[in-house]
Amino acid sequence: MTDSERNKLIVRPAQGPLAWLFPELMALVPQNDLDPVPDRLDLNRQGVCGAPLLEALAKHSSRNVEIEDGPRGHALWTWLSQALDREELIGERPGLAPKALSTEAMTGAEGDFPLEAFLKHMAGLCDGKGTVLIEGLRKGAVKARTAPLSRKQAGEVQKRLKAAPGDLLWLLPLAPSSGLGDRLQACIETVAKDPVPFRHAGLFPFFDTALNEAAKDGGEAAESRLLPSWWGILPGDHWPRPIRVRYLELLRLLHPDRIFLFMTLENYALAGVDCFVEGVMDRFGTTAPRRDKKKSRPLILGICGTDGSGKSSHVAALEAHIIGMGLRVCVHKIYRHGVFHDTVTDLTRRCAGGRNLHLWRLQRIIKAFDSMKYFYSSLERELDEHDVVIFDRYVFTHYAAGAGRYHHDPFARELLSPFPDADRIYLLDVPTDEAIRRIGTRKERTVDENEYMLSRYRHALLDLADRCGFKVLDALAPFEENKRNILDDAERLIEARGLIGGEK
Amino acid sequence: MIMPPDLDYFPGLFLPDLERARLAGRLALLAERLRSRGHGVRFDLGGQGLTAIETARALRDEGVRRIVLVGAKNDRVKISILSEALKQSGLDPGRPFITKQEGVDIHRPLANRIESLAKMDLYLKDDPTLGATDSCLMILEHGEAQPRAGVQFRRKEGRLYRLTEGRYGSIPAAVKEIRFFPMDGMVPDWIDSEDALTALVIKDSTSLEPYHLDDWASLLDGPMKDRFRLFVEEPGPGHPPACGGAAWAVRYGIDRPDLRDLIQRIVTRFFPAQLPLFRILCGIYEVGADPLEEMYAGNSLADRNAELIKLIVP
Repeated sequence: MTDSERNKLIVRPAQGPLAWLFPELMALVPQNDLDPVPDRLDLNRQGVCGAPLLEALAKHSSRNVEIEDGPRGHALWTWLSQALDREELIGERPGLAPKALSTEAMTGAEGDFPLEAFLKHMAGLCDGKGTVLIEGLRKGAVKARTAPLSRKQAGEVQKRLKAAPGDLLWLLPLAPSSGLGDRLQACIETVAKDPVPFRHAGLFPFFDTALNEAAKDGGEAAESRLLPSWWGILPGDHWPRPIRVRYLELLRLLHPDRIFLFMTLENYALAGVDCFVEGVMDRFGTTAPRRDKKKSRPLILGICGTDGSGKSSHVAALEAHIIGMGLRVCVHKIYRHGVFHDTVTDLTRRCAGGRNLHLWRLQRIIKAFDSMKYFYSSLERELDEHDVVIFDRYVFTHYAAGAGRYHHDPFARELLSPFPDADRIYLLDVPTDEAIRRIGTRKERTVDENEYMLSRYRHALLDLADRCGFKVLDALAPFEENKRNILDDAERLIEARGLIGGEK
Repeated sequence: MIMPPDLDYFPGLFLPDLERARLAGRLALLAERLRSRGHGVRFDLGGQGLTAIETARALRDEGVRRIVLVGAKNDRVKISILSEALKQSGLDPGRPFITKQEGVDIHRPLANRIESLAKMDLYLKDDPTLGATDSCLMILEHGEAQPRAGVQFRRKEGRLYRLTEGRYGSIPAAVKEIRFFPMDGMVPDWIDSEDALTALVIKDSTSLEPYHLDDWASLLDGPMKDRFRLFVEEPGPGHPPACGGAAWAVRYGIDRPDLRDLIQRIVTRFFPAQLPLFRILCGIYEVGADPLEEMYAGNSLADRNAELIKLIVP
């Protein structure tokens, strides 16, 4: 072993979304082929992520770190090279092609599995180009391949497998090509005749792509920008929805119990949300909203609600009342409608026809960044100069928008963490149909101003209210009644803070 | 008679919702009984991987005239979703029936049972059969001697395989051993409830006019009131999809920080490759989302994009 090899730390990424969908694939994690290397960090065997992972790597600061090739290695490298700021030590960015799988323990075969019929069915799906293949893996017998085999090669594999049919796990790699749709359809028809043997065999179909470099012949414009770690879940950037629909049909026949998990993973893949990196960097373990310990922090009040709930009127009334108490107060809107608003609307328009769905996420990020820009340019210094700061919408609107738009917002809490915790949020809750009626006269509608999105925002805010202790007010109640409730409560908070009575 | 599907975030680690599985098993038995008596009642136990709207359209296309929604406690939101989809398809969902299991949480008592980490550590450490990475974390309710239609296990070559069969699909996964933990809560009298349900279905299929679904609900106040008490409850307003994310987290035990820490330590130790997924699930719970329910409700980005884009495309 050379000095260079001795000084090397090899990192093997944890299994990713494809194995989340098919945990049976965990059995394919190589166990022994790293033995010659003196030191390694196998995230499949050492449960470590987030800060502990960074600390573990920091201990090897004098060594060269090499991350294994493959889509997840690529994703892991991207995060680590930024988080550790030592790109030169992490070595080259891993390639996107997955390393050939090797087998250790296979499970799933039934004793009475009709192997002959099964092989006959599946062999019939091969077209000689080897683009739709079934591969059976057996312990210690066959190196799994995700690259297409020729018909002859497939026949040899099948011949060998026939001789030893026990303990098999079957993979069905689907390589994008111009005829993939037809072959998927043929596969669906075959399995649909009698899905039970195929289910019991543990047949796992997945897209065998080269990610963004996927073949484009026959494809359409990008539906998404496929992130590396989603390898296996999507057919690639340029493959139209019909291919995905057919895959879903096949999956429904083979694994109906996993359909909704697959749809969830596919949804995030299309939206460009990198769940694998989020999990490995443990975003949620490290991004709790900041607790502002500054004694001089002003009282933070916020009024939230969907469009048409009457926030602005109450904000004005609250501000006037606090000014009347002789306190220094200011009002801020961190959720702005400015130039960027037109920009993000344009971006969203580019999603027409089901394309560029990843731009939905970009739209959210831009809005959150705009709030941060506002924080540093207009708000931060005012926190030191006022007794009370009133927000017309607060960070919770971002949270609700994230959950409302794509069911999971991995970025807002982290991006918005500099905003101080609110002392009180008043939520003006208005039924969706009434909100629609109130905003109906506005000239310009946004993508959010419709019954579906408003109802989602409303419910997300109510959920946050429940968990974060908002004061919920019925926006249908008389204005004066809600105003009195807000002012009385705000006065109590101001007194409790000692802002009146000589203790400012 | 329709039951919404089980939604499983972590098929490699947790069992399906056993309460739901047991209800599905009971319904399957009921279906057999009714078929043998010649009643034309169709059961859909939600195992076909169809979204709510797909289910509703299929029923409409089949010409189904009358529908009863049945679910376990954790199915409440899904029943709301399905009910809404049925209405959108022009079908009357009637009044759903949800099992009433107050004080009997299949998973929580078990979660409580393994709450002591020191004890759990010792327990697992001394048990070589649970050391392999292909074992599952088994959380089971009170041992029942009779085979259950909902969750079955097959022993093969010294190993037990988790296997659910029937119309609600299969989830084969190898386990080293099944452990039965004693439950503190009571087990409801399912025979009573099944008989009551049978009577209800027979009554419906023989004597009631189509769409008179209110009559079904009236049984709650009728002579069978006592027998129904254990089985059904008045469903309150279901959470809309955006804020209904708690049930699965409660079932997994990650809604409580102490249990979440415990399960994370178990995952770290025995299923290290799945740690990123576990952390993602904790994060999804933190933001109050439930993506699987969103998919069931047909709220995927691809599904909703088209109608939302229309609002801003000139």
